[in-house]
Amino acid sequence: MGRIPVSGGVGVTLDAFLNPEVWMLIGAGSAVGYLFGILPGLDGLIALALFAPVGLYLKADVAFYFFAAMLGAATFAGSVPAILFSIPGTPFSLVTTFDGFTMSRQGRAMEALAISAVASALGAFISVGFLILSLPAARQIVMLFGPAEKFWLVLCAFVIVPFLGGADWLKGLVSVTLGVVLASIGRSVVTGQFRYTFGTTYLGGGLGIIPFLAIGVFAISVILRMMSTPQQAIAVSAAKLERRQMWTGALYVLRRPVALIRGSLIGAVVGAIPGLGGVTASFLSYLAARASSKTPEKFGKGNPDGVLAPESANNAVQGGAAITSLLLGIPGSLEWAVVLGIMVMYGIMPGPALLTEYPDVVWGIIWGIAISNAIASSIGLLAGAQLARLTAIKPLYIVPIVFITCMVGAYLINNSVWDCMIALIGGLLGYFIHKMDYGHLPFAMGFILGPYIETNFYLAFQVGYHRFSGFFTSPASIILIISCIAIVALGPRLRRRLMRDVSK
Amino acid sequence: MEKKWIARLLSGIVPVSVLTALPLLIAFTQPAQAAETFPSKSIKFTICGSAGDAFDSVGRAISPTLAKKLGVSVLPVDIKGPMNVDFFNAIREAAPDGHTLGFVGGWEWLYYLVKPGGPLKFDVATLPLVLAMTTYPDCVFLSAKSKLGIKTAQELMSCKLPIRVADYSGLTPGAVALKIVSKDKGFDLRPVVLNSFSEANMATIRGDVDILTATPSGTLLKYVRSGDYSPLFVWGKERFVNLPNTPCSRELGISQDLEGVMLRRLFPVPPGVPKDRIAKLSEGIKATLTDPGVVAWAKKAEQPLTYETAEECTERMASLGEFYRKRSADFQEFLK
Repeated sequence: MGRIPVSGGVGVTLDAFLNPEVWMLIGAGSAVGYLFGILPGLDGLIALALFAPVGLYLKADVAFYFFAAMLGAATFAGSVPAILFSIPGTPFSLVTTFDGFTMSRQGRAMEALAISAVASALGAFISVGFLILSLPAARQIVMLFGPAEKFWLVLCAFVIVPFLGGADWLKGLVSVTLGVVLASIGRSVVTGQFRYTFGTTYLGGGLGIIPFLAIGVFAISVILRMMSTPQQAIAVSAAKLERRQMWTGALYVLRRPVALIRGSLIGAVVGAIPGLGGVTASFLSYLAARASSKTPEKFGKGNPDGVLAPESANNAVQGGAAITSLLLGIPGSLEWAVVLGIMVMYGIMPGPALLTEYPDVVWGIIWGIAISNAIASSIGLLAGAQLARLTAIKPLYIVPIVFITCMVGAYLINNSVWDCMIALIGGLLGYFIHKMDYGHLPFAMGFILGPYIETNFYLAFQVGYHRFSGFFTSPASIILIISCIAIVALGPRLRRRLMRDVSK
Repeated sequence: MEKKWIARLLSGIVPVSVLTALPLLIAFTQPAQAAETFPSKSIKFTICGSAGDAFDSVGRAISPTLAKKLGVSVLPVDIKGPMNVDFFNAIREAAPDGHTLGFVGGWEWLYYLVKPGGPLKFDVATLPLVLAMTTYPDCVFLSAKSKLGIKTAQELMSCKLPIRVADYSGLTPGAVALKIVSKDKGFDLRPVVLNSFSEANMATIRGDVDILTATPSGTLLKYVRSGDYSPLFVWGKERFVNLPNTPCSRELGISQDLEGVMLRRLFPVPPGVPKDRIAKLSEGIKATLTDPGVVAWAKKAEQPLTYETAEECTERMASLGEFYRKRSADFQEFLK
């Protein structure tokens, strides 16, 4: 592997930023990314795939600013509908709905948007800093996590969730399990067997995260709640939507540097581990924020930390994913798979030594992500006051609009009516999960992380020559196992403390 | 009175007449136009892939050039579904007018030849092939982190320890071929099932698997240069120009039936498409693959790009299907 420059590509980047074409491309990429991010069913991945051929008309040294901007802007933009209407624009924003939407309903939409915007921008910059500083040791960091380590990491997340759930830890456990079971529908990658498909082709592909979870369980369930309990209208006084909220939100992030850095680092590290991705990062960041909070009982009830944590993490993921993608040529996320594919189209072969062979391109991508996040966040802040006013629209009008948006979003994924049906079923399930206080968080975690834990369990078993000893060999595995045991041992105490705080 | 009559005419009779006449007009004029020129409208380019995967990237990369060569727009659409069923059904059910062109991996195709039935309700061989995009035969790479203590292909075949090979698709071509060789030569090859080629690469770099079999593209050659991978041998009757010191399978005395282990990208069309239209599509794809821009791209990617004609690839897929069907008992654990 060639020598890796750790200067941050300052010279290369300054040259690029003196070029007006670069700024135009960042602006255009941000606009496209914003549009794709804000619409449910579309995301940065689809934007990249659709616009890849367009990029071929651009020069390689500037084209990647366009793509990086698209990627960065889509991640932030997905949070806007998540906060305003509980519709995650992209799966990355699922966790933001927990507290973001509640803040909206409390008339604090502008504050939540500001927290999201500032945390997103700073999270992206922190992850770029992490990327630059970790370059010399990046390969070793990436190599730390194999299938056994990923299995234990996800197990840690699973065991902590019931202890942080709602009123009843048993309900939290049931909710996680239900999520895992529903995620197992479809064809097993490991055995090739079809599970719970009832002979249908559609279910062979499983219940998709976007139609079932993001649109169904999260968005449509909110519509059902609004329909069943009219007094819970989103409507708030327009007077409350003052610009003051914007500054309150922005300053809140700046006053919480530890929370911001923690979320960003979780995002960057998880992003660097191929296969985990932004949704996992935002879940882990949310859990970490909740576990370390003095007022964990306020999470899910409009706590600004519940927006800060996932937003800083999900935007930092791209910086982390850049490590594996740019240093090893192995995509750290699906979005990076497309970016690497675009590189191949330009005749740039990803792989070791990419950074030394094509510094213009690599630093273009890295800084493009950070700058575009800042631009998208600025748009979010500037447009926030207007966007926040949408929450003041009467539910009578907002329900049909949101419902149609959900249905169109679900249909767009595969041009399939079945996805709309699955979204409706997910909506009903989400409604009852909320009504019976089983908790959306444990359910979503089970649904998203279930396949990871299953796949990595089998993989670790196969890698270890079909023996369980492979699960206990690396230092990282041992640390994670000890963490799991500690959570189980200390969980009840943590829970008692939480309950005591609630009763107070 | 007169105004009322006019209003009734405008609001009722005229729109109904127009709505009735328009489809009839389209129905009667369209075939005449289509018979004259082909393609007469945009081509739906159905890719068996998901946004961002290798097939989607390659499909979208060649679409603009293909559009230029065919003279109409080419609209890429990703349709895959579980076990690629949705893709095959979409091609089968499309109108046989030549305006739907598929793009699928040869091994996804071969899977249903080797293991017919399952969720696919028809024989894939009934879909006519327009052409196959081919590249150089696969290479067997050894992970630098492997603890097998081997360095050459001969040592691999006489290894007494269990060897882990990356199995990253429904029917991973090189892994299946190596399994057949292991049965013939008597070494213990075990699949490690991975979700994607990216995961397989990561597992190989980490040493979670000992062997990765894949097309020796530019990216993998970089791993060879960085010392992460050692090429053991390439499938085929001759050495690969970019790996001159690596033996080929024929030199090692491996069955010649396995020399066709390579990445094939097939272009199928719905059954019933007239032969002259298949020929026209074939000419368009050939012109695309020999276009200076595409050739330059392939050269930069260190991956020679060639093609097989409709007759050649149809015959090749049939013979490969027959061979693998006969030997399927040897690689049952790979048939997921």
